[in-house]
Amino acid sequence: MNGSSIMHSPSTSLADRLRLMDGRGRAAWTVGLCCLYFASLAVTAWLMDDSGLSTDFMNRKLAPSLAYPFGTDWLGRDMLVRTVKGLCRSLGIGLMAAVFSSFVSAGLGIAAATLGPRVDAAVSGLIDLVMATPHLVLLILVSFACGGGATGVVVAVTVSHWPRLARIIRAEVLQLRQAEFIRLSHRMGRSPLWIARHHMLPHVLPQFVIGLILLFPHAILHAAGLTFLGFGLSPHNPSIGILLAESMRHLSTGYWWLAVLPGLSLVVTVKLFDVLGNRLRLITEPRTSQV
Amino acid sequence: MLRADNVSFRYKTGPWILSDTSIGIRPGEVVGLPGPSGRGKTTLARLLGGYLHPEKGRIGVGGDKLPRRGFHPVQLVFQHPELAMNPRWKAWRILSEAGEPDPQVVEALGICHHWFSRYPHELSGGELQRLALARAMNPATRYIVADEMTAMLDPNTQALIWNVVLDWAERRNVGILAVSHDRKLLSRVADRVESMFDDMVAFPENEKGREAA
Amino acid sequence: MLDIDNLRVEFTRYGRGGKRTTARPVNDLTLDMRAGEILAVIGSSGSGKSLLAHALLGLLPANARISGVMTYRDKALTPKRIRKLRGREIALVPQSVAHLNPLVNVGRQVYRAARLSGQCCQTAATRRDESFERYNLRDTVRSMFPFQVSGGMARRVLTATATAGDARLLIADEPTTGLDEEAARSSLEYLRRLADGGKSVMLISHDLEAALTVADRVAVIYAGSVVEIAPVFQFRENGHIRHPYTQALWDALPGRSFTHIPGNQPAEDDDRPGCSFADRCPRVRKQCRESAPEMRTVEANRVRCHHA
Repeated sequence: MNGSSIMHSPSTSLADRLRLMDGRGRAAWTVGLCCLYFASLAVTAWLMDDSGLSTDFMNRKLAPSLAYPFGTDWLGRDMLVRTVKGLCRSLGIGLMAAVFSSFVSAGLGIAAATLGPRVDAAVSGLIDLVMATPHLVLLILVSFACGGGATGVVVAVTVSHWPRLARIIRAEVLQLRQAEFIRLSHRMGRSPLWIARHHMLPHVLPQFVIGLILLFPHAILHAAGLTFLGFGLSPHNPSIGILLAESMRHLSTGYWWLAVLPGLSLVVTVKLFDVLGNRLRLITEPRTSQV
Repeated sequence: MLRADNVSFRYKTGPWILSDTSIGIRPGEVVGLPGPSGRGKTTLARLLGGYLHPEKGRIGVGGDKLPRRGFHPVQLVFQHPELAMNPRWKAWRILSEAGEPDPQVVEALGICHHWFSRYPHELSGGELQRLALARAMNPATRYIVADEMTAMLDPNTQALIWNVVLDWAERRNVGILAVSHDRKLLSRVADRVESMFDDMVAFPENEKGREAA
Repeated sequence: MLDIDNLRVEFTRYGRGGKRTTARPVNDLTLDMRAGEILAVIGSSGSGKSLLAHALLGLLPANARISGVMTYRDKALTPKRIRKLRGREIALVPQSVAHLNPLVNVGRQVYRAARLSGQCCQTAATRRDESFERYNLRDTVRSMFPFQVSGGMARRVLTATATAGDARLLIADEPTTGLDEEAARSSLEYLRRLADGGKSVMLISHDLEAALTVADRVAVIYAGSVVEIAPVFQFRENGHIRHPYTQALWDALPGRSFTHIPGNQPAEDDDRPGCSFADRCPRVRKQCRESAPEMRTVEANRVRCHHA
């Protein structure tokens, strides 16, 4: 019998011990690193004083260097300080918008799934209406109607983004209501309120939290976008949108760092939020949390 | 006595799944319900368990109709236990949902304590079915409807489960409706057999490939 | 045809608080299959029988660690060879229509199975037609989608997918689950006919009674290991069943004494020495807890027990 052994055996290397080799371990590391990034961003913004924001005509339009890692703009302001503070401001706005939007989503999603066919039809119709409207148009209209500024941005993002999570939550609750174990629970004497709290909440809550986290990137990007177009935050306080808007004028004259570096920072930050949300989902699902 | 009298059922305006069907189960009696799948046995089981409500006819215990709230005296045990459990709950929570389970029952069914901290997807079919049954064997249960309860289990686990539940049902005068296509099993466990679904001629598969309802 | 020696499949799992344990759901599994026979692999849920099928088809998850020797037709069955052979010489009869592509009609799926097994367009089409005819499936069934096909007809379609090619070894995973008597009987009949035609069929199931109606030999699997391989004639009044677990399964049948042995299969991460059945065995001795028995041949049976 010409047999041969099929050996696939692992090595207990450092990578193995640090749990880098399996899904859950890697996810936990990723979540940790993301949180570290956001924490350091917040701390840095807090530590930086406003001196970097003052105009300094001696050091105008300097390319990135050791003294000024992100260069300076045409008024001599330190781009790194402006970017970091701008990011933090955008993050703050994004957080508020994401939180409000998520609560609206949850409320309407649950209402649609539990309050009967007419409420469901009404909410679903509303979802379709909002989703059919071109995103940017809706954002601009609402922001303008609310008078711009931080309020305008938050309301605009809330109004245009709630449908996505609402549909997910509505579907989750609808599915749950039909689940065998829910009906069984009722047959064992549990009240609908008890079932909602103990059976449905553990299913809906993770979706809600993760939906909230994944909404951040959208909220931040839209806040930046609205500001860039002039419908959002005012130019007095730095935000990424303002930075990008102002840098447009100088791109053709070769001052690339005014747009590229803040833009890249925004993309990286937003992407990391996305990664954070997805990895958290992996960890909290009982099925995938043991791989 | 658990009775279904002239019960008819259909979904919305679809075809009638059950038409003028009657069945009775006395306390402490084990009634077998054989027959091929798709005849309505599971629908009848669900009607008795209070999951569905008949369009015509009535279902009740003694002379009273079955309660719509509170612990239902007719408990169902399904073929696929994993569907009857919240996947995000741990086993101990699932087991104690209707109250603290009887420790003698837990022991008789061979349920290990180290299963309690596991999630359903970490336990095997046989282990889950035993948890589901322990949960159904509640002091307030008067009737158990076992819908192909052991169809997915190996012979040893099947014998274990039936021996335990039959013993328990006899001591407490609990009636059992055993829905199963395994005739040898029914001749073992049932006091009598209702052949209402069995006598029906097996409908030939029509052009659409589906057996006619 | 097929020889498996001491196959082991291991996974690393995370428990409470991230504690790491090694689960070994397949633990020193040994069995053999001959041409033209049905070998029934009987075990409870969680005994490792499905993993055995996955190992033979190279479908284990990426984090699985495999060791042991598998030989098919006198040549080693390496992961590379498995990839070449599956769908061609080694085919799976899926458990339910849920395993088929829901968006493609069944005729095309059987055709595709034939093509994937290496046949050219013409031959594949002919083979598909033959397959359908062999299993009494009317022409109209060809254009149906998996969700439209149910019960006995579904089983026939699934068998057709596996036999569209020229597979010599068929693995039927739970072919009678969820079927009533009539449909289960026909499903097994088809497998018998395939074996009579020279193919080897591995029938994986928990239903000992059903398997005995068509199998040539029965391999009983417990805690990831095959404890006995007995010819089907041993399962009768004066037959010789040599492993206590096989005896327990046999006695537990409703048509026999319907008795059960208490206890549970050991956990997948239990790595105590000795026989895995020791905790439940009525004949357990000191030796049983100290060393795990080897697979031995005792007359017509192969058995893994110190007492046989």
